[in-house]
Amino acid sequence: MQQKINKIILNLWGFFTSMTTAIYILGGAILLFIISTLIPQGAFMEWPMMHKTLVFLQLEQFYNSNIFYCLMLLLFLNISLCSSKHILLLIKRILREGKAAISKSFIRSAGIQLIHLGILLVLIASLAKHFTGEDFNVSLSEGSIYTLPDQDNNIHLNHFSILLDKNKDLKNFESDLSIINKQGQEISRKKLSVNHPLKVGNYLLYQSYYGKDFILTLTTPQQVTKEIKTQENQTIQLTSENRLLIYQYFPDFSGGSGFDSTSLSNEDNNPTLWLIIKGEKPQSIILSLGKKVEIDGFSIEFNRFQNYSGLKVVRDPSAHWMLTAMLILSIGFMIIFYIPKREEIL
Amino acid sequence: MTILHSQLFYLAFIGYLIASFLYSFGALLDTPNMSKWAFRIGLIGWIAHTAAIILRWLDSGFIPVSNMYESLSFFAWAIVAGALWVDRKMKFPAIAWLTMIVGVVMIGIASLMPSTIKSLAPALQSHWLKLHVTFAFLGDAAFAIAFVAGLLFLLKQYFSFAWVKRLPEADKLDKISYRFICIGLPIFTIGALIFGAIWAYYAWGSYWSWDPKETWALITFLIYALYLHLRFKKGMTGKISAWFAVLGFMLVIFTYFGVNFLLAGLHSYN
Repeated sequence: MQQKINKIILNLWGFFTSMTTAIYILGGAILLFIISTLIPQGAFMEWPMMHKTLVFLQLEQFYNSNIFYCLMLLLFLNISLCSSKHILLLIKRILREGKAAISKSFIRSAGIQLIHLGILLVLIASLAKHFTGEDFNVSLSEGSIYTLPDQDNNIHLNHFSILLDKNKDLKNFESDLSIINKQGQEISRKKLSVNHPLKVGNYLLYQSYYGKDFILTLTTPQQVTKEIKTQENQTIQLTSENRLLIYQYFPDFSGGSGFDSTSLSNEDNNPTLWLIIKGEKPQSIILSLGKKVEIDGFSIEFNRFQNYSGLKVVRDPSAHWMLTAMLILSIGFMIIFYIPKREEIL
Repeated sequence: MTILHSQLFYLAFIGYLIASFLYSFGALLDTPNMSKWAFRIGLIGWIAHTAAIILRWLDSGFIPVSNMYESLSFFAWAIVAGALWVDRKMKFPAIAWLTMIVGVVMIGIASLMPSTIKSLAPALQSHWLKLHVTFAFLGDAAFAIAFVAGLLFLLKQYFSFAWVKRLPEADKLDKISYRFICIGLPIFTIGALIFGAIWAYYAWGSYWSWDPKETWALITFLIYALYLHLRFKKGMTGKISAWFAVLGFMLVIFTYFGVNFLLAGLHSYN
């Protein structure tokens, strides 16, 4: 029995430390990654049979699929065991030969092992982030407050600004944020912009996106009036048959019926919404700021709009591991760049 | 300054085009003098191109690699630099010839793209832009030379025209292809994958998002990694090795054009 177990362990060791296995894993990874980019991830396919097949094979959520996890596990085992074998050989060589062991081929081999070590750290850090990290988006309107999940800090958006260049193209966008503690006191006030994340407690805040909230006043046929906050691509249910889709916003409306309309600039000179009624009688409606339209007894008024700032909130305890992995990988690649395995040409 | 930049850009284009023709005559008609003139004219074009890139940088205030026109122009610049280096230092004008043609194709496509200087997208306003994009394209340029060497190897295997027989020996072509993959892979990996991942962390809050451009860059890395593993383990040389060099560069091209035009994602800036 013991012999059998030893044989199995030896076979597994042989399998996972083999470069042939690495070659098959690399080939498999290439094929699967190509397939994953050709299949829209998370999207619904038009053809039911195709969709069912993709769901069964988990190819429409490939990066969360068992196939992907198995691939990563195989890669991890292969690299870790293969590298262990080679690192042990390098150590033995040093112990045997001393300083004389440190030749070009030795350094190159060490470089390759550093690359493998870096890849292993990348895999470990990714796994750690998967289980211990979190990230999500938060949309904040000016004046609103968001409490971070650890309950220690609140984020208050004082002001959100969109900067345009002389051609009225987007130059930058930034949020003026106040960090407020549990007692309601402002700890600090910072500007958040793209590429410059802000650390608040255990979280990093990123300026991620922005958009507009449209405030509409809806009056029903029964004369009930309510204010609705909505955004582009959102729908409002009017009746059981009809829905109102906020199809597009034109900041500087050029005129027209929607289909032939454009925005003359990115500035809010003539704010106009293009609405589409979906249902029994599809209809296209243009609604400018301050104007009112009547649809099936409903009255809809475009009251006002306000910018919202889209923040990405990230907690990633493994971020420094990943950075270390990048450093190790870079050193490994620099070593093999300067000391490649030369094959004489001339 | 914008007009001067455009004039220098077109001067470079014409220079590369003439150099390609002269290299072609040199290779096809076995007239080494033509190749020498091709090098000189190619070098003049490259100097003009360098000046054009510097002027545009000064004009816009940021490194000109932010859209398709600029990045293709930089890619062509790097490829032509490689072509001239292979001719001058390694004395292989036949490789310089086809590499120059790849450079001409890239600058030709760049000339069809809108060249207006626009504000840099907020996500691109970072020092990482310089490192990430330039290193990635320098690596890609090395892959272009490996591709040309691989292609010439395959031509030598499958055809027997007089000019094909005059090409460097198959063994040399194989080794040149391998050497440029060894040069390109570290530069590409550090630039495209490592610098890209670090930048992504500061810009988007995640080192890796499985965005199509990221995934295809990883596929490119994996195919060359596979090439090296096969070479070390199985002693892969010859035709398969050459096909790998060709396939690798096809992936580079798809990662650039195919992903930009067919697969939308976080890297859609154009």
